[in-house]
Amino acid sequence: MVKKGQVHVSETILVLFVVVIILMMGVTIYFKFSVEKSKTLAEELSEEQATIMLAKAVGLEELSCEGLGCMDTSKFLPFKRVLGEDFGRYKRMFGRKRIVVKELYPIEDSVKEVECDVVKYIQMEYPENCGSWVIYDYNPENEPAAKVSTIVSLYYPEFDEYRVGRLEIEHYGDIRR
Amino acid sequence: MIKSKKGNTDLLFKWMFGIIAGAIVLTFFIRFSYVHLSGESLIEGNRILLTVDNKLDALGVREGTDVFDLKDDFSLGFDCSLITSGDIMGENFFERKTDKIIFGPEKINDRFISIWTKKWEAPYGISTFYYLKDKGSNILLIGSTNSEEFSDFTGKIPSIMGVPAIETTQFNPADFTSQARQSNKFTVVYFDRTPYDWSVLKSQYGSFMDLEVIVVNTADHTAEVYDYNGNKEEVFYFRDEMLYGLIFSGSKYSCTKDIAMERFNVLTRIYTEKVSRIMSKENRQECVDLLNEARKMLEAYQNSLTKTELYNYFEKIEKQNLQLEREDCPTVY
Repeated sequence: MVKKGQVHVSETILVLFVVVIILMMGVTIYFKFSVEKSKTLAEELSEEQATIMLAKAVGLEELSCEGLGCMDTSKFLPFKRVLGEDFGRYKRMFGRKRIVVKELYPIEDSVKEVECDVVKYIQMEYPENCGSWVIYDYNPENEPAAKVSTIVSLYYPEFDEYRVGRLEIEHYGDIRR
Repeated sequence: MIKSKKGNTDLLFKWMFGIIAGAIVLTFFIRFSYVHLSGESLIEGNRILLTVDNKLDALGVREGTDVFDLKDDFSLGFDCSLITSGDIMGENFFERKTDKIIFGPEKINDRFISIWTKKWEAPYGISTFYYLKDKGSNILLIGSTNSEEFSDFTGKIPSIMGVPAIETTQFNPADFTSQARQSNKFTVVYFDRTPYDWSVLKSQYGSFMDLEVIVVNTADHTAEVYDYNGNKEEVFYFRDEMLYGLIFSGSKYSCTKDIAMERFNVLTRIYTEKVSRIMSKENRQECVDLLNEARKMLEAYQNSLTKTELYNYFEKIEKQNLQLEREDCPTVY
């Protein structure tokens, strides 16, 4: 037989246990919301940073035409070489991002996504044999990306020719460098 | 006796349970609050740095001036390739790496920061320089106002930066005692002549602030920098943009200048390779020859060991680029 005093103790323990569980659940939920809020904030800041980066990349001395508001395609391959030799410098500048320049017009659809590299450059067909440059790519944790882009003017000094392109920056909701 | 009565044992058990459970719950909440508050503070601290960094990025797209209103008094630091907030020994110290070339006082403790951005070209664009100043750091430029060089140089500094130019013969240190004593950092920059050296100024102004004296030798593109202890450092500058940097950063100039020169090397490497690649696509022999000369000059420019060499190659590359333009060939920049 259960005595009346034991029933009281059990009731008290049960009530306290339930109260503590409810409190902890409340705190955990609040904490999760708080983390979610921080993630949203980081994503917003990352997007803001990527948008500023768009304007910055177009005018960046390593990639731009001298004072003409366009991007100099003849600097892209030299830049990639410098990037390979000193990645840390540009990681500090761009952070976790992927920067791609794509030619939009005039270009054939079949080569739009073909990446321009040294081999493509030395071929006679250049610049008709490729239409895309991956300028920078750093996403060590394979995070999903959001993209911002802008239309740019691409200058080919070898042929003294301007074409239409698009600068795309993929960012990963992360503002670390 | 407690043990003698059943009700008392019950009560004792409740108290013990209450205390233990309460302690656990309290620990949980304290830990939660701590994690939450430190997390919030971390986000807030980094957000300030990110805001400053983003604002500098946005302003750096073009040459110009602006006054940043940080909405509150912040202690910001600009240490070579780092932007920091808070005191290094304090709890709320945060830092963020930056790629920007920022010339300014080591610490800014103000709500408002005056900023001036200027492109550094040598002769092609290398980078945008940021010059920063708050109202706690004051700078005086002392030189011959009759000299065209000095007038041109000082005339280009935007009024928003608040850097007065004074004729050497009219400079009397006593006139600036009160301004100096109200400053955190007071910099006196002499051009070519030094009427009062660091020790004279120090005795005039006392130890209320960091006094720095810079003596610029414009013919030689060099300067002597006397820091707040009176220690002398000899430095050189490449183009006026760098001299402005020296004026705004004082004894912190060398580190930032080294970063700028590293960037100069990177850009020169890019231009050298660009010219090599363009040459391989060029059919006109006269253009190939001119481009080849330019490529060699760029290689020599990158490996310059003295400031004289730098200035010489600078002029030659400028001329070569004009020649390429005249011959209707692809240009270096």
